[in-house]
Amino acid sequence: MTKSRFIIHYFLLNKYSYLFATVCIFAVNWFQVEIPHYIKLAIDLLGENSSDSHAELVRNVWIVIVLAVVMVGIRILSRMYALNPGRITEAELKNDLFYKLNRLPNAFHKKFASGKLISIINNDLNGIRLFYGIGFLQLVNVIFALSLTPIWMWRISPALTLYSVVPILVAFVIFSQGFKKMRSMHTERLKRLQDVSEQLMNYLAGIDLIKNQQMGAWVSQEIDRVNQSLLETTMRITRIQTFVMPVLDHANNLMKVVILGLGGVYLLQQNLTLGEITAFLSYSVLLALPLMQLGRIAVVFQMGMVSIDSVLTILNSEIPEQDAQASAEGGSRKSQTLRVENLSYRYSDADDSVLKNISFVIEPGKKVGVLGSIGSGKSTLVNCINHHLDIEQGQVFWGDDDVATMPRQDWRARIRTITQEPYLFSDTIEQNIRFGSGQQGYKQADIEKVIQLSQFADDVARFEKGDQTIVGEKGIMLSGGQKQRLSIARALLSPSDLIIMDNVLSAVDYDTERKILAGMLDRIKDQSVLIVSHRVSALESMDEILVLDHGEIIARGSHHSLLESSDYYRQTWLLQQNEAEAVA
Amino acid sequence: MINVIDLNYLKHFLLFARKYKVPAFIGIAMLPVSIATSLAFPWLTIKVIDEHLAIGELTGLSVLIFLMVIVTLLNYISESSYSYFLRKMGQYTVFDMRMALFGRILKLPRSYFDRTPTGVTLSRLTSDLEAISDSFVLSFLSLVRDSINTVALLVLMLVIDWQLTLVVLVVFPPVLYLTHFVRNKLRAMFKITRSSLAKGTGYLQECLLGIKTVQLYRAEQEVEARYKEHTSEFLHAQLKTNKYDAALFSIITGVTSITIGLIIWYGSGLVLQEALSLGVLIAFINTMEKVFVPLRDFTSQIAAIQRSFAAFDHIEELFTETLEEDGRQLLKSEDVANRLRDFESLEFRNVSFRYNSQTPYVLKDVSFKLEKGHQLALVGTTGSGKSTILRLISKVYQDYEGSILLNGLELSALAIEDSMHLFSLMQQDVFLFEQSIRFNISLGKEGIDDQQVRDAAAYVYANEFIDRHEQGYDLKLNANGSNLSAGQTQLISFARAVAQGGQVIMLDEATSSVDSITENLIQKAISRFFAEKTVIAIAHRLSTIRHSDTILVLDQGRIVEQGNHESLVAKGGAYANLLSETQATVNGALEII
Repeated sequence: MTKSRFIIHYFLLNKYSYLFATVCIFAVNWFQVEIPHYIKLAIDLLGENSSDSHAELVRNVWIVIVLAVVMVGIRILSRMYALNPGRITEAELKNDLFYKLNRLPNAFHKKFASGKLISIINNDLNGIRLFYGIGFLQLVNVIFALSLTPIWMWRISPALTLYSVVPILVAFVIFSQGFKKMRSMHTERLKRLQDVSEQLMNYLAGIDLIKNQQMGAWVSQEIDRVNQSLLETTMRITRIQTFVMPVLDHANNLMKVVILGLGGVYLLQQNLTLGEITAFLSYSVLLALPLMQLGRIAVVFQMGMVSIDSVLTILNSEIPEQDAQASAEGGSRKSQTLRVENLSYRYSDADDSVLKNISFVIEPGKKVGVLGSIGSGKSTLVNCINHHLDIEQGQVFWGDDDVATMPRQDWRARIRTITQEPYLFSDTIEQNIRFGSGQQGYKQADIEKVIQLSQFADDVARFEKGDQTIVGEKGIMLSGGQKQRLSIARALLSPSDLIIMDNVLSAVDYDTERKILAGMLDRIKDQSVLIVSHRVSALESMDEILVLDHGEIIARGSHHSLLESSDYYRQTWLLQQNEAEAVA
Repeated sequence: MINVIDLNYLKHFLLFARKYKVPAFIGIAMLPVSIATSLAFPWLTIKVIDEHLAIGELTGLSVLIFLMVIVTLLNYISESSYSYFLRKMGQYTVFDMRMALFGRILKLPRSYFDRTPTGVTLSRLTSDLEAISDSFVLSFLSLVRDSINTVALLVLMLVIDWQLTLVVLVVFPPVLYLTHFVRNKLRAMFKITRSSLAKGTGYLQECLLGIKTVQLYRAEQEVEARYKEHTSEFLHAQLKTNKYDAALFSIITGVTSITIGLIIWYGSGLVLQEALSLGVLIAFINTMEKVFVPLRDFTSQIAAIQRSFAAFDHIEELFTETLEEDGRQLLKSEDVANRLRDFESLEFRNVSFRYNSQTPYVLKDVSFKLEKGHQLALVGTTGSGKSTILRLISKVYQDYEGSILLNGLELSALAIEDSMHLFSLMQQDVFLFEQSIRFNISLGKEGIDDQQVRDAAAYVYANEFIDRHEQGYDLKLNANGSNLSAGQTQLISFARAVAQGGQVIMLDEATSSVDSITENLIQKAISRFFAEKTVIAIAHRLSTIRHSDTILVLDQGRIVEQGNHESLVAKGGAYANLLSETQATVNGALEII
């Protein structure tokens, strides 16, 4: 999406609101210039001592008051309908961005730290909100104000209009120069402030060394340097803010002096009335205010453009083509064979492949295990199969379908991955288990069943609030083992064709692990399962075990055949037997 | 309204501001001028109209007009100077406060940093001080000026024509009540919007951090629906806020016109009775803007000032935080300095330590002695207390129980500058300054010249990779060391330790793996230390341990075994176990972690 398409797209979202606001703003400005007109009529009637003219005067005063009251109403409407679109756009954009972020693959998220994304959604959306709200309001307002006011002034006296705007125009030139200067100084000041922060951050990180080596004087001097340059920039801005920016304000007074002086001369020449001078004085204020706002409008628009740019970096990232075609219900579900054929994988920032020519098959209902030590490529294998990592075509198949070209959402309706580090939401245990089950309203009994299956029931029973216990941020209230079992329950709730468990029971001891797995596998006999672990004990009952070392399968077979055929497997098993005994 | 400003908060601010009496005095002196000139303007307007325009008198008009120009200029100069000089005082004060706070931070004990995240300390020195210089100083200055101005203006109006002024004052109570009402509504809405925004942002953050889980569980639609709820809750609160905001703004602007109408209506009768001059009426009309607009700003200025009190509060905390040296009696004498010229021995006598009174002991009853020229290796699992021993020696923590004797003197009674020159610490996480390699080795110490830097680098075999680099010793390092490899960073810290000339090398051996060439250099450098220096090391590599005179095996804060390699192996205890585990590890890495 280009920038202009973006601006138009979200502008049209609120077109009726903007249209109505524009009408209101016009009305407000019209009333605003009309009021001095009636004040003028009233003032000019002041000197006349007849009951007719007094009635006329009172009528004019009433018009002023009625206009003012109506103006308040219309102004409220104009501000609401001009500012609300900013908020509405902000909300809409937040949802749009979130939609996009949810569908962008791992490759994108690896590039953008979540902190950066959050900062875009929090900070840049502010800029966009102002752009679509106050920016619009003030722009339309200034356009009407600056075009209507001079016309009304001109009608009274063209000559006085021309002379009286001179000081304010001169001041405006000075003001806008100062404003420009101040903008660039502000950017510089932010940089200086950042320098101070960075320096402080650095030195705080090395505080022990600095104290130990008695470098206090030196770092203070360094901080003094950046602090000093921050102060200098700040003072330069202060000078502009205090001496240059108020010029426009005071020019307004000068304009009044011109009106009184020159207008006075015209008045004495009978070319102008006192009422007209009063009206002129009011118009001078109506002219100065919008000029002051011009600067702010420029800032809002500038900031808006910058913000739109950074939002576009997210919006313009392409969701992979196949993922955009995800079917609502995840496609037809039928158990199939998973085939991994010559799978190799290399991280883009690494020289060596992590996985080399991995091939194996999981037939429906079969249980397959992968044994490997830290760094053997186990988790990479899991992340390739579930298509978290971008794999090339022709390596992973589900039946006849190539996983690489299948919509990710459809694929994940069929497989469930239980990751090594379970990520939980700060919600109740029940809600965490329901996570990912979508609109299918599972019954309480279903929840209890999976809690049983994952051997989590005893723990839940011990909690005062049972499955309504809040698990805290990232599940901080639970132990490592509890988190892992909760994540197993979560994966078991909605039916799937293949369950992948990546080292999921590392936080419990061997015995518990064996018990949990045995109990669970017994109950989900028809399900295909892939278990990845560095513990032999977790894999003993598998139909087939693959031994992974340095990204290659160095042996495969059942537990008993591997004990005979693979030295590596046997040694690992023996070593872990000892550890288990030592613990017992 | 003013009594909500608790002067206690300002104690430190005023203390630092005292230094800037001159700008403060100029600024304050400008205030009466600015008020007088801003009152003179409507007064002159009345004169112009009544004495010239209304009666058709041209002579003397130019004098009055000239006076008005002068008044306008004076008003500009005095108003700008008032803001400038007082803001100058504010900025300089904040500058001084930042330096003073940083100076304090350098003297805070480690325990402060343990319980305070760096981000918090940082925000004290940046955003809190910014809040003071921005919202406090600015709002306070405008509040003072605007309120004095408004009161003075009303007084002038009363003096000129009290009846007409009463008409204006009649409008005041309802307007004040209305603004107050709307402000309260706004404040209530503000709380709601704040909390709904926080909820939304929190949820967003949670989902983005767990994006992998969201995607793997096909929960996209689910989390979106939930996020939408948060967004729309926030949106609706905001739309309501907008309504009140719009009302407040429009009413204040509209009330000016309404009052003008009232003035003319009421004044028309008076003018006919010749109880009121036209000039006064017109001047009043022109002044209305100046009376009502500050009313709109008052409440928001006070709110800004109140918000800045949180910042004052934070800073006050930092000013009252106990310093490391508070309540500590230090030994200071010529004799102490003499006795600490050269390293003789370091002895731990029944030392116990815990980080604070709520946590368990991390060292229990530890005793050992390190003589000059000896090498001591600390061995044990994570959490056994090895690092704590090094931290105690380097005086990061000082509140230990028992006795640590350096050359026979109690360590906690010695000043850092008297004792720490004897030690050079080589840490796992090397802290680098964003300066040249040269600086990072010499640490800017005056006595260390270029040749000594090169010698130190050569001593630890770091000279090769430094010389290979185009800029050599002038290469500017990134703070996180990203332009060096992990191993090279280690070597820099070795060279630093050598250059600092400590007689005892304290080494925390790195566990991270480095490329084999650098690893080789590190091994060579360590061997050299062990051959030529007094060393106390947290050791992971078997080779390092084997070369030590004494090995202390620590477990959960206690020394469980003590002796040299051969004797401990022969004993077949904890050390032998650790060793065999090392060799039996599947990966075969030579590490005891």
